[in-house]
Amino acid sequence: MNQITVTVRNLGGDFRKDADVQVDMTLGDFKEAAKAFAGLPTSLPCSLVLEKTNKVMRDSDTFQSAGIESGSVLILTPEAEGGRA
Amino acid sequence: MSQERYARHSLIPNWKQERLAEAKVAVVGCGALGNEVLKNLALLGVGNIWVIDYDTIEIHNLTRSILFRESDIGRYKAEVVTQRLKELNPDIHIHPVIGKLETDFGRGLLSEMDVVVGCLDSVRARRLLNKRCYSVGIPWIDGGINHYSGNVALFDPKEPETACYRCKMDTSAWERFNESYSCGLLRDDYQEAKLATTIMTASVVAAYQAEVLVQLLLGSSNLKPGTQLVLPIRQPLGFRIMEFTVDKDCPDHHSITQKWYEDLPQFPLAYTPSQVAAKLGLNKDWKLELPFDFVSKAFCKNCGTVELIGTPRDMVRQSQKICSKCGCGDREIPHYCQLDHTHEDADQPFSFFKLCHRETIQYIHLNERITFELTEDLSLTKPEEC
Repeated sequence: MNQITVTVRNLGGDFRKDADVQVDMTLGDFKEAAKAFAGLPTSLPCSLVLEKTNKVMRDSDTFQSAGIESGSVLILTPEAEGGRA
Repeated sequence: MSQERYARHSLIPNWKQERLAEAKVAVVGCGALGNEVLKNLALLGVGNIWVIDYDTIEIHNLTRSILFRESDIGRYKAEVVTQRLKELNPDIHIHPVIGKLETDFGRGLLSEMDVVVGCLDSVRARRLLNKRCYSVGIPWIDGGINHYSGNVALFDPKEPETACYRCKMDTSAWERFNESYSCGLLRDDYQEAKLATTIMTASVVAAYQAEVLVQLLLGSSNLKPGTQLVLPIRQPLGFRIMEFTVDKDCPDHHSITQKWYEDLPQFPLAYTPSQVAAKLGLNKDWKLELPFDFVSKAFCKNCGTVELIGTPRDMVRQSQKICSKCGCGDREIPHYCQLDHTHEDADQPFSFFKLCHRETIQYIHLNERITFELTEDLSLTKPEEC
């Protein structure tokens, strides 16, 4: 099976989307697509966290190499960058 | 130390006020987060604090900075916080460092810290702090804020099986890291993004940074190294912890010192690489490794003019490609991070390379690394009299 269904949401839960993805898609590509769906700027660094394990996914991994199963939930978490100014 | 001042702390099980009083902590960045973190550390009685910031106070800082007043506008942030923290708690010693981490706070001094607290606002500054902390084996606590949430992360080179800030950098972070540079030179037209932040997010994140710091000083932190706490402040969702994966090719991990050198040889900044090599008894096979890429000179291919630059490469601007004599815009600006005895700068004093008091650097000689520390007569770290 080359396709799985995953859910991506933000931490607040006001953005949530189910997506059918190819298992060889990289999580970096998926994250960029999710950012676009969530209306986040492409330049904003974000983490994609697997809800089940709380582990941050690496951009270069694929769904298959990261062992992500159908039905998994991924949380898109923007990095808070400010502090000094 | 006044025992009465800390009477309520002494009621807390396993609290060791003396441990806090003897602790050495560096806080990098004196903005919204830095103000809150420093206020917390002073109230807690953290005894020895180094404050590093090169910036001056502007009016827009006043909405999030408890230690600044309107009359302080134009003054150095590090100088003002030093004054105010001494008012908050005269027991503690504050050491202002008005300058940049890489050129004004030596790694010899950094290695003496118990913990470093990052109160920064850019990927580049965080990456640099990570690199320096990992090179001397000191844990650091990162904080970041926007107007609705914040992050606190702990990175600890003493636990190398856990991720560091460099390990967690994704594609967007690298784009951010490089956005202020073009062809390796600082863009003249680059304006740092103005980030929306509030005192609410700064207070919550700084409080947690201080909590992690106290836990580290008193034992071990409940926030594990290589993890980040996400604090959604606008919505009451509770905290969430995320865990980063170690990048097995991470250069910062590879720079972790296996041992820290107790009695490093010390040499004045006025000495040259050739002189120190001779004093250390090295033959001519030595190479000196600088802590950053360095630009010594710019060469104009058009008119042949050679201009002294003498700056870390990260600080060279694109406009410095333009020859000041003939106006040609394509000067060569070569850089290096190693030099040997044949290099034309081998007889320049160490201060020429923008190295500071208590910076540690290494010679590579016959496959061995020989570390030494640079010193100057007047300490940059002298506590300010207030």
